[in-house]
Amino acid sequence: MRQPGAYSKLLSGGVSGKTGPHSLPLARIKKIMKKSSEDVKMISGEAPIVFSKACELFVEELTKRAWLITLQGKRRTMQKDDVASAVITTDIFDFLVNLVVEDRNNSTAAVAANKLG
Amino acid sequence: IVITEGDAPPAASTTTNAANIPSPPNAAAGEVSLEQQQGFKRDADQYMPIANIIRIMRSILPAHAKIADDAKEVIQECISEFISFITIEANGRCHREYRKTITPEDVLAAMASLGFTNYLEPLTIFLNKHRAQKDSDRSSMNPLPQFVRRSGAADGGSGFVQYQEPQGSHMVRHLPRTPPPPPVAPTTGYYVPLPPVAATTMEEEEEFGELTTTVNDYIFGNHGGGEGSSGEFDLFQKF
Repeated sequence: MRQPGAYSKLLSGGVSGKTGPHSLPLARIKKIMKKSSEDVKMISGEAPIVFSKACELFVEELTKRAWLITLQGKRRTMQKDDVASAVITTDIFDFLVNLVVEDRNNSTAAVAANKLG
Repeated sequence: IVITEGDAPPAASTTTNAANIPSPPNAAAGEVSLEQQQGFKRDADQYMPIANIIRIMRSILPAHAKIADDAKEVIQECISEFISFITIEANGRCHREYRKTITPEDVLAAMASLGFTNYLEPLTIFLNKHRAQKDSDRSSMNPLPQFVRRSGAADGGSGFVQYQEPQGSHMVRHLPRTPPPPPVAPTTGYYVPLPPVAATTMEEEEEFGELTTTVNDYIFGNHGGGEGSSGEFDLFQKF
C-alpha cells in the first residue's frame, strides 16, 4: 500500500512525511487527473491532497442523498438505482447523469439475460 | 436477510450480511458475468480503491445500513468522473492565465464555478492545516541558531536589548528562518487566503523579539518564498 509520507516527499520535495494520513491514495488521484485530458501536464504537489478531501466530501454527499432515497423506498440496502436517482435529482451532479443512466440500461439488460438463461 | 420492495433481491455480499445468499441478478457473480458479457475489465488504476470508498460511506451511514455491490461500484466510477470534471475546469483556468501547473487554488476555483461551493470552506480549512503542519515540520528540521542562543540566555531582558541594537540589521540577514511572506491577493472571490506560513515558528522566540524580527525582516526585504503556490497570509478570521 502507498505510504503517505513517502509520496509527500516525492511531490513536495523533501518535506517530512507528516502530512497526516489521507483517506485516498494521492498517486491514484494524480493518475486520474492526468488521464482527464491530453493537455493536463503539471500538477502541484498539493492539488491531489485537496482532491483527496474533496472526493471524501463528494462521496459523503452522494451517499447521503442516495440513502435518503433508499429510506423513501423503506429499504435498508442502498442500490445502484438509489445512487442514480440521487444523481438525477441533484443539479451539481449533472455531469454524472450519463454515467448512471448508461449503467442502468446495461444492468437491466443483464438482468433480462440472466432470467432467460 | 434483507427484505426489499424493489424488483430484484439485493446483492447479499455486503460485509454485514452473514447469510451470503447468492441472488442471480445482482450478486457479485452476476456482476462479473455482466462485465465479461461486455468484454469490460475493471481497470483498478482508473478508480479509487473500493475499500477506501466503503469506509467513507460507512462513516456517515447508520450502522444497520447495507450497500449493494453495484452501488459501491457506481460511486467508484462517479468519483473518478468528479476528479476528471474538476481537473479539466481547473486546467482550463490555468491555460487562460498562461500558467502550466494546476495549483490547489485552481482546484478550489474550479469547484466554485462548477457549483461545489459547499466544499470550499472545509477544503480551505483542510489545506490550511496541511500547510501549517508542513511548515512546522520544515522549521523543526532547520533549527535557528540565533534564536536558540537568545532563548538560551538566562537574561531574557538583556538578551533582547542586545538583539535590538544596530547589530540588528546584520543579524537579520543571517536569519535562516522563513519569515512571513508579503500578502498576495487571492485569485478568486471565494477563495480565502491562507494564514501566515511562519506562524508556528514564532512560538520559540521571546515575545518582543518576535515582533522586532518580523518588522526587520519585512523592512530589509528578507522574504523567503512560500511553497509552490505563493504564501498567502491571514484574513482567515472570516471563519
